[in-house]
Amino acid sequence: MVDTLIIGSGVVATAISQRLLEKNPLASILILEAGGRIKTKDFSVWEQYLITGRPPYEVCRDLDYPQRDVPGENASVGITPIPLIGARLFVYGGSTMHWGGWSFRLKPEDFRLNSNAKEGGDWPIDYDTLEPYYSQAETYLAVSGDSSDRTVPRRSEYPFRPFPFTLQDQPLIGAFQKLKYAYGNLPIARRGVSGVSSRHAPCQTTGTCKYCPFGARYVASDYLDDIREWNDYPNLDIRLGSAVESITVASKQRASGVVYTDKSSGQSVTVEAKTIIVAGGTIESAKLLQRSTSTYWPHGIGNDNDLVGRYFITHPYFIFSGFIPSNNLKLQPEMNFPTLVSRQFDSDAEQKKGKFVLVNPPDTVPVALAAKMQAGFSRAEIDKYATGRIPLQVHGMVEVFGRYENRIQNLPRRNHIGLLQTSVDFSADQGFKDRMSQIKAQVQKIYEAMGAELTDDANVSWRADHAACTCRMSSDPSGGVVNKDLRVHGMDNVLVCSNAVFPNLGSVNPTLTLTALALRLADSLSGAAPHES
Amino acid sequence: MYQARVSNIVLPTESTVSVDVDEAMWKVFVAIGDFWKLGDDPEPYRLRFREFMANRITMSPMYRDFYVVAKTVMDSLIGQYGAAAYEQLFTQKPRIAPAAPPQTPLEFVQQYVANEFIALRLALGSFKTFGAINYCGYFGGANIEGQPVPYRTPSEGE
Repeated sequence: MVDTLIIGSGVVATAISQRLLEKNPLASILILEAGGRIKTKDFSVWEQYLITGRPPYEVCRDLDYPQRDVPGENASVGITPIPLIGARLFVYGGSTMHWGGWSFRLKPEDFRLNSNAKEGGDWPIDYDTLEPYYSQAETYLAVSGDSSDRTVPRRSEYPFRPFPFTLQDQPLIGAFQKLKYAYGNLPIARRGVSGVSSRHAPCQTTGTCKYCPFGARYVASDYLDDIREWNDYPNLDIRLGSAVESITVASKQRASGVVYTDKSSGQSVTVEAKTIIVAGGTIESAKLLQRSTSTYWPHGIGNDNDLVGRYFITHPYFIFSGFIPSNNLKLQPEMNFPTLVSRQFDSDAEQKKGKFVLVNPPDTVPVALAAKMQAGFSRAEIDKYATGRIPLQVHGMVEVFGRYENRIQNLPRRNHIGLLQTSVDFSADQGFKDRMSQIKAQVQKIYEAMGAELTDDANVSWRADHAACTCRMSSDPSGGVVNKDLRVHGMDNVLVCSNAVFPNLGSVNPTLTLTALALRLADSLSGAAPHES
Repeated sequence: MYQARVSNIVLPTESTVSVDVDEAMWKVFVAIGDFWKLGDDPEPYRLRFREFMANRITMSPMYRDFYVVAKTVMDSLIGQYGAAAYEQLFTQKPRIAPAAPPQTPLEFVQQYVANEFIALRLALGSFKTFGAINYCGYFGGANIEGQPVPYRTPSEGE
C-alpha cells in the first residue's frame, strides 16, 4: 500500500513528489511510467542530434496514423485530422523531454471564458488564487522573463532576467511599434544566472534546445534523478515500463489502487494506494478514467455524465510566410528559442472570437548555411543567398473552444509503447476559416509595416502539442469531471492533474499553468498553507 | 564565470582511428575552410574534431569503417584530380539535400563524412564568416547581466 501513486512521470509527478518529499522525507510515493529512459546531457547523443537533427527520443513518439502502405497506430475519425506524432512523448520525464519551454501565464479573463464569451467553461478558481503558484512554477521551471512586463498581473519577479531580443526580432519589433501593438520578451524556461545556487547549468545559447547538452531547459527526468540521487527518500519508488491498465475501486467513492502491466515481464501487477493522481497527459488521463469501469462506475471513473474525453481541443499553430526583399543585416538563426511575443490580440476584446498570440520564431529568416554548403553551393552563391530576397515567417497560436462532440477514446489495440491506442474525433468549427482570415488581415498589416510581402495563407498545424480539456474542472459534476481541487467528482481519492483539467486553454502554452496547478495540488495534499512553500 | 572559455580540457589527444585515416579526415575538415573561404584557423578545432569522430564511432561503430572508406575514396580522388580532389568531393552532387541512400562510394563519403564535417565546422565557429555571432550548435555563452549578449541584438542593426 502506497500513500500517493502518480501515473506519469512528467512535470506534474516531479513537482508534486518533490514538494511532498520536502515536507515529509518518509512520504510513500510510487510513480508509474509506461515509457523507458532516454539518456540526457550526453555529449555523443548531443552531437548525433546536432549533425542529424534527429533527437534520441523519436522512438518515444506516437507513430503516424495508418496509411495505405504503413500500418501506423491510433485513428483520426473527425473532419479535422489532429496529428499525434511529435505532439507528446512516452518516456521517463514525459513530454518535458521535448517541450519548448514557452512559459506564459494565462490572463485573468481566461478564467472566465464562459461568463465573458459563452464558450468553454469558467475555471472554478480565479487568477488570484493561482497567482502565487505561477510565481513558484516560474522558479521551479527556471523561467527567464521580464519582471517589469505587466501584460499579466504579477506580484513577484522572474528568477532570471529575460533573454534580450535578437537582431532577427528587429523587423517585427519595428512593425509592432509602427502599428502600436504591445510586445515583450517571451518568458522562456531556460535557466539563467543569479545568486540562487543550482546544480543545473545555465543556458549557453547553444541552439540545440530539443536536446540540451547541459540540462539548462527543464526536463522532469533530470529532476527526478536529482530527487533520487541527492536525497534519502526511502519510500520513493519509480517504475518505468509500467503501463497502467485501470484504476480499481473499493466503493463508489474510493479507489483501491491500479492494475498495470510490467512490460519487462508481461505480468499484470496490482498496487494498492491511498491517493491516486492521474498525470498522464490530456489524452492518456482521460482514456484511463474511461477504461476504469466497474459496477460502481459502469462508464468509467467520473464518467457518469459522459464527459470524460469530451471537449478535446488543442492550439492551432499558424505559420505565415512571406519575403523580405533583401537581407542586408545578414539575419539568420542565432538562437533556438523565440525571444519576442505580442499578446496584443490575447485580450478581452478578442476573447469571443478566439484570442491569439504572435511570435517571432528563432528561424524567422531561415538561412540554412549548412544545407547550402552540403548541397555544393559556392561561397559566392551562399553570400548572395544569405543577403538577398529571403523568406520571413511570423508564427502564432489561436484559441479554439471545446465542443462536446470532439472527443478522445480508447481503441481496442495496443500502440508500440503497450498502451491502448487512441481515437481522436475532432472537427474544427465552421467559423475557424473566418477567424484565420481575420488573423491574416492583421498579419498582412504587419508584413506591410516590415516592408515585406505576405505570400500565402497560414499553414495551420493542429498537432496535439497543447491537447487539453478532456477532464474539465467544474464546480459541479454536470459541467466537468474534476472539482477545483482536481478531485474527480464523486470520488475521494482519485485526482487528475494534467492539461485535461483546463476548462479552456487561452491562447498560450499550458505547461506553466499546469505546473502551478501541480504545486497547488501538492500543497493541498501535504496540508501546507498556500504561501508556505 | 560561465562565459569563460575552456578549451579541450578532457578531450582525447589520440585518435580513435588509425593515424593515416585521422590525417586524411583532418585534411577534409581543413579543406572545408579553404573551399568556402571560411577564414578561420582550423587548428584550435582539432581536438574537438577528433572527439567528434570518436563520438560518432561510439554512437555507431560502423563509423570506424566509414572513415576508412572515406580515406580510400579521397586517395582515389587525389590520384585523379590532385589538389582539386576536395572540390570534387564538395561539389560533384545534385544541389539538393540527399533524399535517398548513397549509390556510389563518393556519394557515401559526401553524405556520411563530408556533410557531417561541414555541419561540425560551422558549429565550431566558422559560421561567423557569414555575419552572425551565434549559431545552432555553437556554445555562445550565458545571458548574464553586465556581460555581452551572446548573440546579435537589435542595437547591432542600427
